[in-house]
Amino acid sequence: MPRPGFVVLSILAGFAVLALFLRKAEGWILATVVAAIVVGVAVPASRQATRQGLAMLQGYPRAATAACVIGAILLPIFLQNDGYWIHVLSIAMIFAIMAIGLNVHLGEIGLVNLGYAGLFAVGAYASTLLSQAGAPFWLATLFAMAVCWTTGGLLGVCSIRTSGDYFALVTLGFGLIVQQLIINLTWLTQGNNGITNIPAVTALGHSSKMPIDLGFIRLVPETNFFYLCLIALSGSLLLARHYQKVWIGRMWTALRQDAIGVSCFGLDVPRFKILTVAFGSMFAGLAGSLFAHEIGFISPDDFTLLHSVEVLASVILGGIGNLFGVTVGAIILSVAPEKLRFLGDYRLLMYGAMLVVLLIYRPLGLLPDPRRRFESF
Amino acid sequence: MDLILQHLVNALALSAVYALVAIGISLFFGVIGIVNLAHGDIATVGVFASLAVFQFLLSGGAMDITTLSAGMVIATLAALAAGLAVAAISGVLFYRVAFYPLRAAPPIIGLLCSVGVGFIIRESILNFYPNGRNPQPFPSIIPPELIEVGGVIIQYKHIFVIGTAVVVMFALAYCVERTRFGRAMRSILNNREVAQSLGVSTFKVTVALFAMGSALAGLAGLMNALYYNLVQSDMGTLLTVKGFTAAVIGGLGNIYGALLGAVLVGLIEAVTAGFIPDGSAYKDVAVFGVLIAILIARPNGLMGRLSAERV
Amino acid sequence: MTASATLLEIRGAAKSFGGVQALDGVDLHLGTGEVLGVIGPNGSGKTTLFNLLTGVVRASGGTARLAGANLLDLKPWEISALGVARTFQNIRLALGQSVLQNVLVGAYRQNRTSWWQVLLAPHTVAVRETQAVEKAMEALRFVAPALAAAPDRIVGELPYADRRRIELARAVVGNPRILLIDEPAAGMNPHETAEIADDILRIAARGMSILVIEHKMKFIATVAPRIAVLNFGRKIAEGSYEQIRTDPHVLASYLGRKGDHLAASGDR
Repeated sequence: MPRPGFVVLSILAGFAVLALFLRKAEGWILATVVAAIVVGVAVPASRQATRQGLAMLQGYPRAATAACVIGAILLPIFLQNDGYWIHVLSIAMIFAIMAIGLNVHLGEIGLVNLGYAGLFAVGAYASTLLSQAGAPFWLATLFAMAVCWTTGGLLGVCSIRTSGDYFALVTLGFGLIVQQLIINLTWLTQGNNGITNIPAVTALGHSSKMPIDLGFIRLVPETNFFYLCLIALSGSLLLARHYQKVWIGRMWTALRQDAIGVSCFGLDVPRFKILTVAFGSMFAGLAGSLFAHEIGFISPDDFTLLHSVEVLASVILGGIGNLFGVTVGAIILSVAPEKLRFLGDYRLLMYGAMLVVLLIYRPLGLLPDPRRRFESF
Repeated sequence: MDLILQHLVNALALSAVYALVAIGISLFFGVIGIVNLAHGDIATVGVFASLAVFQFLLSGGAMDITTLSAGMVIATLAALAAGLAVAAISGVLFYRVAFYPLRAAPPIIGLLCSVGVGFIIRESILNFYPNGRNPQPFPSIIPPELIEVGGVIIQYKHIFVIGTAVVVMFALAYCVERTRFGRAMRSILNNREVAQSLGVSTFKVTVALFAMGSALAGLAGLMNALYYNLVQSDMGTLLTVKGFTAAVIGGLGNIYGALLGAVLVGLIEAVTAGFIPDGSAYKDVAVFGVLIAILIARPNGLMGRLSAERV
Repeated sequence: MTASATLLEIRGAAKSFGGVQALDGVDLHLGTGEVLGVIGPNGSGKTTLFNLLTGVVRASGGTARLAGANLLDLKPWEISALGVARTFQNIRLALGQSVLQNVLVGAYRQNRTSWWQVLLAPHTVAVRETQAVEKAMEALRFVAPALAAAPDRIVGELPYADRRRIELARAVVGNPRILLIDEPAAGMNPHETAEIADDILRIAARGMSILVIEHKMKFIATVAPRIAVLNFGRKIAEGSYEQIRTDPHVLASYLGRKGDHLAASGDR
């Protein structure tokens, strides 16, 4: 069997196994599986095998990517049309989009944004208001992205002269303020009651509330958003990757090494930082719009400090700077609570502990960014 | 006029609490260069320790301690002392476990770690303290009486909080300016390497400073609890944010600046809540608006920093 | 030697850091195509001077005239646009990236586009990138031919001396008018030091005006026909190597003892 074919098949098999795992593995069985994985990673022999496997996958990037795309497309079928899990994965992809955006702030230029949920909220509410006023989904989404871009730009202004620490504080406050404003500006946001009945997405006569009829199979309505989110996530990955590869990504890297010295090469650093923060914030607009329309209902409880920290944890867990890594991190952290329900109330405690342990022992995350081999974060 | 003075009194009480938090935060930052976002949560630990002592000593009895008896006084002192001690110990513990291993890493990791620490503290209290999920009443030790000075109502609460803060401030100032410890502290704040080469035992002083900053936080939390007669596991977050705002406005690392910042924050909050219709909903927004404005105009805060410029 | 037109005129450059006078009124001039060496003990203000000239630190006083503009008033990116490039004492290259990627940073001004263009005009971006790569390779071939043969090597795997060369290449990519080189021989053994001196002489031979800071006397003597000596933020002597070598002020300050030959201080 030729190597690329092997790669494709193993990835597809991986998706099928994942689907099975999500639907069937329960409670303590699940915990045992997770523990087995952890042990497998810790034991040198299996770690070696894993590394070789990963190296092979990385050896054929085109085949691997194609396989991932196909696997993702087939996932609803692998999940046997289970609406609940399809929905969970849609939300996971939305968080992945946010992680990609936050990675621009944290990963590319090292700014800690503790209020990303605030941007998420701005996107969600902006898109909802436009949607309820009759605008089509794509317009509402673009509007949300523009509003988030602008808001991000304003936040970016706070990052230019001051150190990164101040940005953390300002964004922390920003997140809290957005929450307070949402609760209090009831004429706009319905306050604590939230906004309900967000219109479904329609295109070419097909609505997101209708099942997808392919003849041989009838996919549940949740699948509509699954594919919409998949397209959005792919687009986000491509966009972020593209910017990484051109001069902008190069200057991001240079800025990380030497924030002061890089200006001597002609880079207007303050302006560049503002544009970067704005760029990274844009993804929150996309995510917010998808979120609002997927669930059909938004309220201040969806946009708390906890959510900001969840996105932050995704980026750190997955591998700061590594787009694929942060996507995986976001999906893991989105899906895990569903599976580890027995942890229930201790979930947040685990987050905190995980964050601390990761930062002390493996700050580069599960899938470290190869470009950061010589950096410590 | 009376109204203004009334708001001023309220503001000062708020400022007193924030000042204690802000000073601790500035100390931390000045000494180890890490922004500790779990500072308010360390205060919460202290407060809950106090609460535990109270609940233990007063089990069966009424929670309202207005009758001044020897037993009550001892109980109160024990509880307060416990609160401060536990806060100090927790602070040092978290330094040793979470920040000390990261002393060589870029400060951003320390900041993120402190976020995790904050979660651990909050969630632990929430899950492991009996009835931790719900807000709990804190014994109202201070009699609810008040005095009236020319139309302005000043509750004993106000006097206690402001008074305590003032006393602590003076004690701190004396310590910083006059004692050997204070000199060691200032030398570390100014330049750690130089201090080390001059023989200042930086580790010991750092630990002591951490303990002091944490105890201050614990005191702030206690005063907050005494003022509102209420505690809950996430009361630390708002304290952290407000305390930080005050410290940053004054200039991170500058203790006197932290005081100035706290006064400013308290004033803005009280004024917004008092004079603007529906103000109390927007007081935090107002505080942050001012913070952002100050940071844009004067990036190093109003009073800059005690230490020399750091990149 | 024919007198060359003065390109850069520094008068009274001064900088105080909260009471510490790092630079106390320094006058220097650099002619077109000239190499000026700046030496002095640690803390004499050499790097501060560079930081002032590149806008990284705001001057407390003085002027530095280049093409009619006062550099001490400008922001770093504005100064870069005037054709001033520099290297740094601590090499801050992106160690995880390739040689070429690092050198390309120096081509920023030529190959930048707007953020919109990145998305909507990929062809323009690609064309600029190709041009930048050409320029970068040319700079590499000129400064460090050995490295140019393998531009995709990861910088972190290369020895220190090579990293210095990459930094030099990065600085000359943009074809600057003035090149400020900060302690290029730091941390190098005598062999490497001599090689770097050769590299700099080659760059100078192309007609670039250079200001170079170094500790090592032999190095400066090889590279710079004219040398200025700084101490405690002031210029205490200026002239050829022979002249400053025997200048009593220099001897007193640099070594702490009169009568010692500077050559003995050698390359440490």
